[in-house]
Amino acid sequence: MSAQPARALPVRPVVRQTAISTIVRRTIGRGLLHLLIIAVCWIMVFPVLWTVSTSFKLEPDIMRYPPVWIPNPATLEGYRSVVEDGRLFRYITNTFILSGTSMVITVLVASLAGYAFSRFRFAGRDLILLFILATVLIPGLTQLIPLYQMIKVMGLLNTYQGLIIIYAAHGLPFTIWILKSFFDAVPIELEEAAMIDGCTPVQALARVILPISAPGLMAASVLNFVGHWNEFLTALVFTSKDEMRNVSVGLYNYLGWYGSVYNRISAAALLVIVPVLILFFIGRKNFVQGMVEGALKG
Amino acid sequence: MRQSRALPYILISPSLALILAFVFYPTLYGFQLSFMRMIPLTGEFEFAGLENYSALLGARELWESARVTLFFGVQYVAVVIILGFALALIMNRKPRAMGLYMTLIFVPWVLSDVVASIIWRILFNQQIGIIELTMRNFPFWPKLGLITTPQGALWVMVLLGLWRGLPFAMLLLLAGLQTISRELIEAARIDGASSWRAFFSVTLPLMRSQALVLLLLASIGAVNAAATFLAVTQGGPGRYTEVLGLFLYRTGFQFFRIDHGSTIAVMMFLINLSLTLVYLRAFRSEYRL
Repeated sequence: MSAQPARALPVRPVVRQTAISTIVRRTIGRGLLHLLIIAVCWIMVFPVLWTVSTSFKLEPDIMRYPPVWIPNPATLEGYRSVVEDGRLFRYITNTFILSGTSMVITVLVASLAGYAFSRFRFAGRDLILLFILATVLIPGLTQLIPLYQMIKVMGLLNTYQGLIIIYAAHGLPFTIWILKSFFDAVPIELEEAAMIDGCTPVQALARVILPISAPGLMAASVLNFVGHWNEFLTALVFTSKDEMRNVSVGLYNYLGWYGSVYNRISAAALLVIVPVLILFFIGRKNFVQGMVEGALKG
Repeated sequence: MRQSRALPYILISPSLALILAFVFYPTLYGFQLSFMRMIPLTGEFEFAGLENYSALLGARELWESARVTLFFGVQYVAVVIILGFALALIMNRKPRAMGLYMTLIFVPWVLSDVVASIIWRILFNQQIGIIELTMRNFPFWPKLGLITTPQGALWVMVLLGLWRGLPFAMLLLLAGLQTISRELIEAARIDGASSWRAFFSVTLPLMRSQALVLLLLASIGAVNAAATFLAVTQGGPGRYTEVLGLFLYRTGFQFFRIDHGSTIAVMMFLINLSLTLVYLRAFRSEYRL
């Protein structure tokens, strides 16, 4: 069917003339499209920009109505008080440790499993894969209490290990899925060549498949890291000691203490999202693609 | 595909062990806890049969929370699908600077629950909120602030959900739109269909599986919402925005009723499960057609 227009092309009787009015109409149409999209972008971004603006304001500007976007005078007071307080940096360090370690564990362990599911046929393969993927549908919230009890019994409340092991395990199912689909795309001949040269399957994974699948590993790592960085409820119930808190829990408590010191709370919130925003802007292509694949196939 | 005895099992065993221990087992353990009674002070458990279930099903709080969750879920899911679709159609025109637009649209999606909640509280703050103060000039706006009225507070939360959920909804539907070949739509146009007709008769039916995935993900997200409610409204005014997830958190960790909390968790699990099954059924009939 799709071949027909090509054949019909040479005998087309009239070459369509692009009248000036059509050009004008198209330009206006395109202009409207852009205006619409810019309006949408503005709605999505202005809450963050408003928070940025608030973080540089002094009390009179915060209270001013009609609202002002450019603080006059601008102040670093909000940031200064956050830095002087210092607790936020402890939270940020904790969160780096938690997210980084969980991410490494998840991606390592999941790449082994993803490789097995991608390249081997073994008894129970499909069933096990289905089981692993089905666990994605169990909402974390419904496991909050049993996990809390388990971690309490294991004596791991208020430790890094307790949260890391939970984060690592919960990142696994979707990571296995993403990595498996990236491994599936690697031609098997490459691996066979490596094995002829004397590699074991695990060496082939490490030296051939993983390097080729770098974009997949990147996407999986970023998604895991950001997910753990942002995690709130599990960390909230697992940590009661202030020095063990992650950024979400720390910020939540900040909200209780300084919720009405608007420049300070805004500054704290913005400082916390900087690492995530940087990762997002660096890896946004892989990021978005990994998400779509996970969602569509999963 | 290779045949091998032990190696694949060795490769999957760490993953499987972690998932069994920290994803699958907790679910079973939660079921078990829901049939136990917590002995005050000692913190030990004894078997209690269906006691927790009958206590909770008889409590007004559970039904209030279920109702709020339903209200929130229906409003959020309906609007996120409609707006997500509209946005996907717009983006599917592939405007120049598409990459920039996508990046900007995805900014709220990156924010954590707590950061998004802080931003929302500032926007709708009764004294300084820019949205609150601007909208207060309209007669329909509650005088004391949108967040102080029951329905208003729920709308604040729906808006927060939309702000954060719309990027992903758009992306999912856009991915679907891009799989529809232009020729199909052009063929309909050549056969004399108006562009509206082509949209409703060709595009929409072909988008049903993406719409179903979105419906499933958005409703599961809405049913399990808790963190942003805790950080923005804390369930207020009164208990009016105490959704099931927040009710669970409060019961388990503010009133320390592990047994009742687990029971709420099991009920929520069952709601999730039935939603999934209903949608999967819809899916399957989809593929048979």
